[in-house]
Amino acid sequence: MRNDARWQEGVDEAWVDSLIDGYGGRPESLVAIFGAVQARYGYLPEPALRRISDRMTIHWAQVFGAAGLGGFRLLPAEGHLVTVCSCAACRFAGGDRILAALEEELGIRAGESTDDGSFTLETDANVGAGAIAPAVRIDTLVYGPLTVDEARHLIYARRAAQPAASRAPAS
Amino acid sequence: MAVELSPQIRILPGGEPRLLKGIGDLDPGSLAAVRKTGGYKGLTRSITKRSPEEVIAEVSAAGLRGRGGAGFPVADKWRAARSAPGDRKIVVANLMGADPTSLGDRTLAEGKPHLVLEGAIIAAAAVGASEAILAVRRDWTLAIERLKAAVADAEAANLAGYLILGTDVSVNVSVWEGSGAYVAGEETALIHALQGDRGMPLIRPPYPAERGLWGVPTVVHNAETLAHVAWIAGHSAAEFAKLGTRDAPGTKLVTIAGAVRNPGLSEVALGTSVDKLIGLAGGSTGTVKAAFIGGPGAGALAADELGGTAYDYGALGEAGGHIGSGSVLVTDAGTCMVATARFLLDFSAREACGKAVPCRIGTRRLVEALDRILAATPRPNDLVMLRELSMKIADTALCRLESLAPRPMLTTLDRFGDEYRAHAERGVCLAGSCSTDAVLPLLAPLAEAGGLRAW
Repeated sequence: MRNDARWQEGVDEAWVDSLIDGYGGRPESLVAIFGAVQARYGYLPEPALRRISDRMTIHWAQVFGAAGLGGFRLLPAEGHLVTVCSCAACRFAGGDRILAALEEELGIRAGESTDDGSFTLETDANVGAGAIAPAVRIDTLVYGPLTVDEARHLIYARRAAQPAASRAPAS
Repeated sequence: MAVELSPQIRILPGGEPRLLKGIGDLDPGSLAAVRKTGGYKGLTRSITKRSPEEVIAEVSAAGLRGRGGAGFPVADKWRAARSAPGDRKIVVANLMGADPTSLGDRTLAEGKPHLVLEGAIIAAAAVGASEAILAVRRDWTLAIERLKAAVADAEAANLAGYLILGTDVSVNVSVWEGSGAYVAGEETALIHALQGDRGMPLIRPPYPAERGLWGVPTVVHNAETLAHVAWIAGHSAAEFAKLGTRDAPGTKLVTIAGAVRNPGLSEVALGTSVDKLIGLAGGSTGTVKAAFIGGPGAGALAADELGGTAYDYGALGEAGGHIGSGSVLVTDAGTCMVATARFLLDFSAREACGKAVPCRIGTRRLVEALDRILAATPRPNDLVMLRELSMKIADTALCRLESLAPRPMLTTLDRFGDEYRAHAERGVCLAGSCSTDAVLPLLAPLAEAGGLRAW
């Protein structure tokens, strides 16, 4: 779910500028710059993309296009980012059942965040785990092959480790 | 000492490990260990003892075809780039992981980065390029780290960079992080993405070998092709052709996944029967129903075809499949072919870059028609429309990925047409895996009355 408050959050423009300058402002370094911005903010905030467009004098449509087709997050992910692999191998191995179970467990659909901001659920074909299908990635760790119960357990474990209330959404 | 690879990678025992030989044992961080096992022998021979023409002739004699999907003869690409006018030429290694299921390129980059690098330098020297770019998917962090280390080590040992091994050959190698997408498997789209543009393909010709990255002649190969180049240079064309068939010599990295006991990556001689590939992965977990061969644009082969179909460019193509990314997905008796075709087609539709209208809109229309069939609410001509629209998409395709997009549906329609009709006419899933039975009572009378039988 789009959270307008975080979407509008301030971006350190001086930092973005220094990042761009570090790459010499070359257009072919866009992906590397996107990667650094996403590493810091967890997604590509629109103000950062605008700044990149202005500073590098690359048309906004091209910046947004390169970001959109490049597998970057354009919306913030709140809390733990749970990614269910949607590649063909994972689907054949029961990935759709895992996704249904996690949607039920978290009470949200893929692409949404829980109300308390503790989990974001998404699908992506590129968890890259054909040999360990069905697979789920939570933040940076990849798990698989998973049963439905094991997948639920991954959520229980994180709930236990981090009380949901500790990450209230920005208001 | 076992070398750690990403947790996603499983290498199967058996097969004909050539490129995969020693992977997981050989320390990719030790140049000395790599050279002890024959690493950079091919490069040394290629640039100190042979002319570029001789290197191209050797690759030509080996009959090496690109392992990235299209299967274009490598030597032809090199000749085109070598004879293209211009001082500046570039070799690009595609490590963008276009097909998420395929493990080959990632495994090579993590386990044998020097082999990929060596192949890239040999290719660059052969076509007269002084730059090589290894374009790696940015979330393959381990691959990026190891390739960068390999480049630094090779440069320190004068195996890459300026005036390699005292010759007049200079190849400046850099590792670039790219944003991965399915369409990056298409070379012109990859070139756009590297330039910082939106990754979309171009009409060809001109081919990248004439006008590629920044308008200069560019040779694009995937990592596996380059590793084969290094292998051929280090051994010989005759030895390369000992495995494989006459038309398709050599080996191929194959990822076998789906309903198999032991999914993972294997290296097999081209021409091995598809049945044997499934055997390498421990056999099926149930009764094999079909194998989808070639990635998201896969062609489906029914179980009774698998034993008699050779895994190579020719025989597999005639049967409706293709080598593609080297992935083989096995489905068992409990898998609905309509739902599977819908899934693969939906992947192509979602990954469509948007440039070609028949692809952007056509694949979406196909998915919608399949959704109607799955919901037992088809329009009278849906099954006819599926074929006609598919042909139009393939005929007007801008890139190969687009022309392949309808293939999972077309091949299943040919082989499992009864499943499509059962879904459309009666709302019944013959595989028993779709839960559309609920709509059956509503639609059955209509179907029986002939109202939905227009096809």
